[in-house]
Amino acid sequence: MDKIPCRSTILWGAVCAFSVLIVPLLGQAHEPLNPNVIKFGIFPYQSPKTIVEIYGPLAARLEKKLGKKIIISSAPDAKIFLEKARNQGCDLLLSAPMAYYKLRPAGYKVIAKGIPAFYGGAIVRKDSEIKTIEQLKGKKVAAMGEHSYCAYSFILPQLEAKGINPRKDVEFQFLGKVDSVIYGVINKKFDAGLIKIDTLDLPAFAGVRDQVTIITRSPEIPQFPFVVKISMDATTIAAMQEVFAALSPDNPEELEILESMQVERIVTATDADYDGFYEQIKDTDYFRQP
Amino acid sequence: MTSFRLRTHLIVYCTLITLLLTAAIVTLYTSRFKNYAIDSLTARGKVITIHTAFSVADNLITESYAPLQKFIQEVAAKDAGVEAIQISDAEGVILAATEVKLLGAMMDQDPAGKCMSVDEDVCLVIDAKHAQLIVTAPIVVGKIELGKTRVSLSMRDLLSNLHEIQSNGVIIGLCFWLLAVGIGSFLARYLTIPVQRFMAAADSISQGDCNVQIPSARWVLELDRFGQALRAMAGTIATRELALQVSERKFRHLFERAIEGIFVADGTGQLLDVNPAFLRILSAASREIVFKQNLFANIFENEEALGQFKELIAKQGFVKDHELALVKSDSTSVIVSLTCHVIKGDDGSIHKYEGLIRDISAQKNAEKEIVRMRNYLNNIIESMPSMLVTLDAESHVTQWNSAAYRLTGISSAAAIGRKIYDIAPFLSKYSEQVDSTNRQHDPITLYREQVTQDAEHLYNVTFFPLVANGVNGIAIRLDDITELDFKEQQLRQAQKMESVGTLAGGLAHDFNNVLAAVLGNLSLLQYRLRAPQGLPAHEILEYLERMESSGQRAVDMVRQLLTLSRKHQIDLVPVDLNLSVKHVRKLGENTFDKSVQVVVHPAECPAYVLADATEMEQVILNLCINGIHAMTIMRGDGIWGGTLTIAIDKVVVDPVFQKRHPEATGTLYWKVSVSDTGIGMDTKTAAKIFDPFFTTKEQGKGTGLGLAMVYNIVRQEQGFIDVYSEPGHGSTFSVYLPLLVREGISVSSAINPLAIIRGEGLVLVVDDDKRVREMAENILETVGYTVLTAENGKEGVEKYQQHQAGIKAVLLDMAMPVMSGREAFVEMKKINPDVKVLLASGFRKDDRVEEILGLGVKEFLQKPYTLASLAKVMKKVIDS
Repeated sequence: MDKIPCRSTILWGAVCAFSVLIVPLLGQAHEPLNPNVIKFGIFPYQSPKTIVEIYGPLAARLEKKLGKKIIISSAPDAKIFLEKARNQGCDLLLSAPMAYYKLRPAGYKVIAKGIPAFYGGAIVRKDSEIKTIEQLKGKKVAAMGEHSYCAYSFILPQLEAKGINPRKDVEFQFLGKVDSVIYGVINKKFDAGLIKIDTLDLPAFAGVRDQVTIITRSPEIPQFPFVVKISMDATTIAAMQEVFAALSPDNPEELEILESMQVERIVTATDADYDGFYEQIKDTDYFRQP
Repeated sequence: MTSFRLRTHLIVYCTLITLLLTAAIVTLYTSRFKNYAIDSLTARGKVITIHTAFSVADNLITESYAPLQKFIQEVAAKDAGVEAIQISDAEGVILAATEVKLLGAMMDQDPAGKCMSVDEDVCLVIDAKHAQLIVTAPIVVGKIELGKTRVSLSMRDLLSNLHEIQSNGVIIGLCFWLLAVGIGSFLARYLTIPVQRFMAAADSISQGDCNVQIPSARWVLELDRFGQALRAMAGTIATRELALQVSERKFRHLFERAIEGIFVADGTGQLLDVNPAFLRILSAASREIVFKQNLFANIFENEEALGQFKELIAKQGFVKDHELALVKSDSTSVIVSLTCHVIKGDDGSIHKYEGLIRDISAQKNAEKEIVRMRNYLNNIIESMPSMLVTLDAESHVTQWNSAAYRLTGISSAAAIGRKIYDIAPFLSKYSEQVDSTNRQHDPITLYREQVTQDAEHLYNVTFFPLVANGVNGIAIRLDDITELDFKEQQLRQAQKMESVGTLAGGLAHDFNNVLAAVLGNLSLLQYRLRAPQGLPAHEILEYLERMESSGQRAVDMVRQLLTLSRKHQIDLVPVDLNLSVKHVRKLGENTFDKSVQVVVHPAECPAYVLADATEMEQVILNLCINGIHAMTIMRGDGIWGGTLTIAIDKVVVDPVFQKRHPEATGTLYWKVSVSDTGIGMDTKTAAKIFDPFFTTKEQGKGTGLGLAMVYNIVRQEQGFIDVYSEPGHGSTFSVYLPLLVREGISVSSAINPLAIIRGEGLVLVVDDDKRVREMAENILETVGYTVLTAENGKEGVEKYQQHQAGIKAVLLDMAMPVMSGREAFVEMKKINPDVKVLLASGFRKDDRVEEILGLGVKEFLQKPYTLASLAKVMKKVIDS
């Protein structure tokens, strides 16, 4: 078990380095030429296989509704995801809010979103001495990435408010995957971890849910928006929204899909629905980066 | 079919077996190795393929294709057996391949043919051309197929190993073959020699030499067993040969000595072999003569017989007990019973006739004789005047003669098979007798039966058991005795008249006396009346009374004679024997010879029997007349007269009495005994006295019917007669008639059979008659005495002298040879003056008896005595 993350880390390192060189070539090579194909890009907030397993049923419904093949795609990390999206590699995206704000200038718009909103939080082991945010000073904290508000950015203002310089007084490490964060805390590799809180409600973490304690929460965060290219025709958009809206918690099968996506419903939304949240976070370091 | 030597067989078989085994082992081994190697290779290919699919799934999802190429290069480098790896997306576009030139190309859907097997969606294909195992597996996440991964594994090492195994197998097989050929040659040589010896021995045995030496082969179990079996076979053959010879001799002997004629003829009937009996039956002198003859042409008497014979043979293949006539050598015929069967060839034609003939001429003659005899007997039965009917156990008629037809009007054909009571209802009243005869198998005869409604006809009906052909039944015979009865009555009448004749002399005398008295008184009356003085009336009355008295006596005499001589119907009524004796005595007062003293001992009470009164008197009268004749006209010794004793006694039947008198079926009888002191008779004469017309009297003095009549009457009245006689001493006739118990007449006075008076002590029985002596001995021992016997007076005296101290009493017969009872008693008296003697005799108690009693004999016992009477008197003697 220990060797797998190690090998995986090496592999991912090599992949990242190599991808910088060849992705443009590959991306161009795989530009969807077939109008009967819709590429569904999903923000890499989970492992690629988990993403496919979660969104496979939704893709099947879209396929059936639209009469087009839906190809699920993801990316090794948020950065590559943004790159692929900007290069218009996807027709439909499920993006993290932070990434969405960066992609908006590239010609994407919101057509739907999950409800209700969610929260980010800092978790520690139940037997940990850390009970408050102040105690994070000098500690190793696992986070998803700089792009993640719920699993990183939210805590920075809270730390600063406590007089802690997050860049100096806390050792953040970006692990990219939520399970790595959770198990990193449980395995005592990290003193604390930053995660989307409702992740703990997933069946995969049922066995460890009681072993951690949340010591702080983020403000309310809107769910990941479904965004499409601005050029997409209205009919297709409407059909997609219809599929999203049709998912009902009253249907056991559809309830399972919604629960795996950690939302109660998917409702039609617009860019305006995310403007308020943008105003809250626009001054974070993330938006200062290109 | 060509035969090969054992050695050749062994070598060929060893070669074939070795090659087949080698081929089978090599094929099996290489097949299993190949399967195993392919399975291993397949498993390896699956592991690589699935591992690759799992590893590259994330890259496909994230479209990170660059790491794919590196990944497959590393996998291929790590495993020398992996010759190629390809990864395609869901569209089949190759995203990564060990052959870089294939990137972007479409993955071949059917590389080197269809999938050999599909396991867990993994497709296996053997590419024989490139010696590769191609394993293709889908890359699936959830239900979404992201692409395919294909791994090509080299099979060159596997094929190389297979070739090596096959080559080694062939080499080893050749080595085994050479070894097998060598061993086969050795074994063949090892086995052939004893087998050849066995063959030589078997040849000798087959040629009849059963004593040939059988070689031993102990080192090979089977050959050793074979040798033993061969020896046993030779022994068995020799034994059977011997047995066959014995059997052949035996059957030849049977053939030669058989009573039946045995023959063998060919299909044309030409005789091939015959036995002496055949020659004898056909009176042929020799076989050669017969062999020149044809069975059908010369020996069968006629064409008809031949035709029947051939028809039967053709129909059933044999004939059995077929009767026909054959022609003997002397041209006469003989009737034979022919049994013959044919032996057929494969084509169905008759090859031989084998058979035997039996001369049944005598049998046929006997059958004719039986038929003749049966007819003769039937004629007898049919001609019988008596109705003769036979019945089976269920009373169905089986025989019905002409007399039955005449009596019933029913023919034999109509009667046979029907129930007797249906066709002859008048026999229904005899169903009890029929059942009894059926059940007990004892004949029953009923006399003087009125069978039909015709009252004038009387029949004797006899039922006797009949066993015919193992089936029980009875025969009923109805003898019409109407005429016989009439004649018998005539005969009795005649006999009565004879008795009357016998009495006539005495009657004439009495009548003369009566007449003399009448006539004398009458003449005297006439004379006195003619006299002048006349007769006073009282004297006249006195004369008339005398004449009346004489006349009345004459009337009595005539009435008795008429009573005796009249014809009458038999009428069985209670008769008091005392009265019958009284009547006879009265009749005899004037008619019996005056030299004979008649003594009567009547019974103490009325002695009733069921009888005809007249016939009863006739019986007693006949016995009296016989006794008187024995004492008068039959005597030749100058002595005239004697004593005639008539006695009536009650007799209780006990086992001893019944043993001596089987006729005694009742328990109580009246005995009328008539004893005389006449000439007596010997036993030979006594045995015939009841035969009709037998007489010892002079011609003209007797008809021989008297005692015959007595016998018939007594039998008719269910009684019987016993006779005791001794020449020179007289005879006693005892008539036993069943005691009739009349109402008001008590039989309590009869002796209780169980009330036997017992005693003890030694008794000497002296009697010359062995049967009487043994009977007395039995009776006395039965009642408790110990008995000593002597067969005459002299021996009795001697024994008494020897055992006088222990002897309590002596039973002494009166009339005995050597020394009479009287003399013996006198001698015993000399020995012991107080000797207690019981005198027994068949004679009545007469003067002789009285004389001996006067000498001191204690008691007298009349023979025949019974258990009760002897026991009672003996006890009385001893206690005296």
